[in-house]
Amino acid sequence: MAYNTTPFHGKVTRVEKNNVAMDFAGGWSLTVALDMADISRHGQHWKEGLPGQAGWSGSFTALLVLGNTEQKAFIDNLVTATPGTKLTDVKFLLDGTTNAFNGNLYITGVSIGTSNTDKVSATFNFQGDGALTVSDAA
Amino acid sequence: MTNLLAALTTKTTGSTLATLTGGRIYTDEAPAGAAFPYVVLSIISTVPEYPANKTIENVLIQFSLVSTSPGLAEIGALLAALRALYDDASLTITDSTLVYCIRESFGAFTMEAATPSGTTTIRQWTQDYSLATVS
Repeated sequence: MAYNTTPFHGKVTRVEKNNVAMDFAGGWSLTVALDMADISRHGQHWKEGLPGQAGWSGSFTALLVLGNTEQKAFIDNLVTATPGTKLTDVKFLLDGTTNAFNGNLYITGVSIGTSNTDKVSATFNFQGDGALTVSDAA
Repeated sequence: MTNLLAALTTKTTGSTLATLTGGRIYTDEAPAGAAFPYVVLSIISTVPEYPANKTIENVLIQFSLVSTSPGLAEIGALLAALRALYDDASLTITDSTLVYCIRESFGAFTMEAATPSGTTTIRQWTQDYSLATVS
């Protein structure tokens, strides 16, 4: 396996659960951030910072199809009597096969959007739990 | 796209629309000298969408209803029959599945045109439909 040497096209990206790509996914976004404490002091011309903890979160979208096993599993993770079960089998693939981000996460929000003139969509928000990794052999 | 056109055409079989037009329901253009009234089905645009593992085609189609009958009775009946047939219709399409078929914009105009029987007033009403198919 190897990392890509040309840009990915968004249409080949996938969200996988239990090694199965979720059908009808529309795209995903993932943000990794590092907390920084400001340790700037009087008399300095330039700010200084002290790194804290890193975290990651994001969202993914889909055309809502509840008959799809993976979509239903994401919904059921949150819409349940006891929400807050950590998911350990989700991957965010960039090329549909190998290059991917991996990590444990919690589903923190699900938004369903409907209109009279378009397909019903769903947005799933997640919060990473622990380290995020990037791999060329998903 | 040909499968979608075939499904839309097949839908007219035995319909009031087919009866009112004498079966003169054409794709893209009417043949020269076609008798009135008739209907022409055209694809205006199709925009693909690629959710994971699927392809959705968002298709805008237009039906042109053409009549030379004085007054609005004939063409009005054609429009009513068309809408009864395609508003929120179900379609059986080879190789794909219909997601929806929704009525969109309507337009109307008249023109003077030369026909085999001389100059006549042609009334043309257009009715657009938005469809989505998934495969």
